[in-house]
Amino acid sequence: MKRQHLKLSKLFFVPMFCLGMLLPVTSCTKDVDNSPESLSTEINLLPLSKTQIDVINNTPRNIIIAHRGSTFWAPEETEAAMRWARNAGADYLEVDLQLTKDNVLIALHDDNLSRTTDIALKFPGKEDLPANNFTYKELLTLDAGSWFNNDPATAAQARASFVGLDILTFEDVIMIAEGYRIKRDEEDGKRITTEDAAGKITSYYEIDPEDNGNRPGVYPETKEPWQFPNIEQILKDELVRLGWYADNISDMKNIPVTEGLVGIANTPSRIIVQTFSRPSLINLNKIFTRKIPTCFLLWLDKGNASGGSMSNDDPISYGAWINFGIEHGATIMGPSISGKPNNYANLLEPWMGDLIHRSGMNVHGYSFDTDAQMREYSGVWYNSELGIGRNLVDGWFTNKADMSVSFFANDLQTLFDAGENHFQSNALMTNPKMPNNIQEFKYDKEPVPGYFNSREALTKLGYYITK
Amino acid sequence: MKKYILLAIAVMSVGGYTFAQDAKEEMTSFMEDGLVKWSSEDKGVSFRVGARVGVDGAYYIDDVTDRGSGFGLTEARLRVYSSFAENFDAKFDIDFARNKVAIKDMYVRYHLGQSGMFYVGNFSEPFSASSIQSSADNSLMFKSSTVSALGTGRALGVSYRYYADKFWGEAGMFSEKISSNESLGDKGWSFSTRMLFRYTPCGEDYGFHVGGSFNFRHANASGYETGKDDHNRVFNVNSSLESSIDKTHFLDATVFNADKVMRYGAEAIGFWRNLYVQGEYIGSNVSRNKDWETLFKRQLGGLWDYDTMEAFKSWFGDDRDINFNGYYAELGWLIKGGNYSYNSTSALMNRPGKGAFEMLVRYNHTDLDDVDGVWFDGRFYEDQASGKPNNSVSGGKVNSCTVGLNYYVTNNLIVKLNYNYQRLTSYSYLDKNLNSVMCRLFFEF
Repeated sequence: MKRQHLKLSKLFFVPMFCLGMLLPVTSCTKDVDNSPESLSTEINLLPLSKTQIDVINNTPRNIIIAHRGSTFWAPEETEAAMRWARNAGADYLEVDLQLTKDNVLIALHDDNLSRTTDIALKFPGKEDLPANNFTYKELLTLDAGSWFNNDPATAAQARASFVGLDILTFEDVIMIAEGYRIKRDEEDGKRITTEDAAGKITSYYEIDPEDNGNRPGVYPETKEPWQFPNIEQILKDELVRLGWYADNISDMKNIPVTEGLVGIANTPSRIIVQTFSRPSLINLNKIFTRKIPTCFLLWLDKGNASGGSMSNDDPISYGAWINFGIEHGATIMGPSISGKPNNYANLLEPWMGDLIHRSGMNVHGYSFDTDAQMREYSGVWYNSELGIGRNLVDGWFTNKADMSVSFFANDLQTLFDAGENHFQSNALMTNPKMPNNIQEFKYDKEPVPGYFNSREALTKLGYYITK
Repeated sequence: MKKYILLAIAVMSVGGYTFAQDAKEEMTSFMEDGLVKWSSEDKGVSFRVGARVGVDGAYYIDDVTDRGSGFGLTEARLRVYSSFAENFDAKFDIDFARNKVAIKDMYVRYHLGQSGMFYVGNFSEPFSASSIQSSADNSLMFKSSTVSALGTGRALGVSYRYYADKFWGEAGMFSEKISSNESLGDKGWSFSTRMLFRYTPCGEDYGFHVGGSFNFRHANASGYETGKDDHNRVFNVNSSLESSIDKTHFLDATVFNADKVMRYGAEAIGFWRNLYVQGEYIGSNVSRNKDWETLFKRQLGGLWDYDTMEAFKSWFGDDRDINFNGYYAELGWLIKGGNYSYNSTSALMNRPGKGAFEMLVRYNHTDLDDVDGVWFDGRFYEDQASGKPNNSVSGGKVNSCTVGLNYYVTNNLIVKLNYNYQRLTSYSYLDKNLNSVMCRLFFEF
């Protein structure tokens, strides 16, 4: 009996020994983890070209980009919104480009005109059609302002002067950035135009009496080329015609600027092109033979139904889009951020911002509508939790340029003085000697007395009242 | 088809026990081969209860993905064997490992003399040597990635096996996997066969077989749309790369709009004294068939919809056939414990006996990529500039080498130790080099 026990224990000794040998090693195997923070460090990023690096080094940092002019204070992409944004101190006027049937570049965000115009009244049955089903002359008949007064989301900012605002062309936006306004009939407020034999409409401009001297750049977005074929070439041709792009920088139009005010319109970076579309990015990279700042926008569409957006917000997907941007000439990545009122997907987690910055590109996030969002992504809040230098953003798309300007001019300085702000400009970290960058030390400026009063500004700017 | 198979099992089982009514009803228990069995006095009906337990340990040397090293109960089976009415026997095998209940073998078998048998129930489709091998008799701890991805596994069906000195063959018709979702529409079906020529002289310590397998399967429906269940059948193959505890599918390919799936394989086994060599090649071809009408109707009404079927088809293009393939070769060496032996009934190698010490080496290559487009963020395109979709499928590729040591403590108690290195190429994973050390304590009765 005793012998049998010994034999049995011997039988079990071998397997138990083998299993036991594995015990200590399996208890300490945490050599990597599956967190996105960890996986993102494994992403191989393509190198930037020397040209891309040069462009990035000359792209202003901490810039405020007036998203569609504003979606909050005035009807988006209209003269009221763009003039307001210029006077509010935005560094760039952002504009969505689409083409009319006769190839005029217009400012329009949606896939059709039904939300932001009265097309259902003027062209019944055609309200769901894209803009390129209409000529510019037809679109000029639309009212692009009244909807804003009637929309519950924006009705608090309603004003009579928005009624009858027309759709802007890209040229209109450029001229507003230069300090002009559209020349209009004093009687009915309609823009003064002429039409040549070929049906081409020409608008006219005059010095804006309410211009306060800011000269922002312009930040146009191109859509899918299959929606608007050749839109990138048409954009370039228009920029050349207006003096805002030339293969030689010295051939561009000289736009007078005022010391101490926004003056990006007279820099080589006066235009930043942007797109969500991969084919359009490829076209922009080919067509702009002199490289200009180029932003590749990111949008999350889990499941990737269309193939036109990020399929996932994991490091592999994120890295693929960054590398695509690098490969095709982008110098800026444009992720969405979280928070009210848009509640977009947060594509600017700290590891995401770090990944973009590791590539050497800039980050322009969209859209900043609250002071809380500005604080969250600027590093003021991240600093205390995750260490100094977590400013994730180099450019801020915002619907409230006034709020964002005040954040840099007043809030950051106040927090800094109180020892509660550890915001660091990424410009200082990556290129401390960037010359003549008027945006570099935005928070070092003297605080602006008071707050830009948008309501007063709009009252001053708004002169267009339908009679 | 499933209901007919279940009906057949019921008829054969009830029929078999009806024949057994002639047997005396009193059962007696007795010991045989160390197992407790029960039998009627006239041996007309007998049965026994068995179990199989496998405890695995794994240590992963991670590359990028963190795989969870540790221990697990990988097999916890209860089974009943029964023989009755002279020529019938049956097996009912359930696995409770990982706190899940899974029906494994559940069949009734009718023996036709000494050279044939007829199966009805849930059992392995006759396809590929390694695919039909019981996991208890796997030489290494796991089947190769090629077999785990491209093999057939169990299904409900009927088959007939014939074996003779120089020929072994089995063919059957099968319905779907027993665990498939019942509410997704028509189930698939398959025809499967394995045929071998062999030379295994009786009493000699050498021999070989060569042969091939073929499997044709019509994929399961995967749900209803506009009242139809035929719009998008899905075919998926995957493998966790011979991994024990972690079940990440580093190889994973899904083919949408699948129509007909053909698998084909070639295999050879040779043994000489205390050495054996075994190798297999398996290929698969999946034909696809888009339901253009449903897809076209689905997109109508969108802002950028296609007005004509012609334009719609032109943009998205037809789905071409998708091909996967893989192969492995393994070598076994019985360092201690006599010679290898060949099982002429199953046409597989027998498990070595008590006291044997065995060393094994396997090289495997599995390719689940069939790509002719440009990959970007989870899908393929004809080119980046146009954004035109491409219908390639990628599941990853792997080349791997596995080394194993087995010690047969008794006939039913085995200790296994495996090391494997996997070189992965994948669109979905950043990992390149995966290393694992795994062990298993296995016993059954």
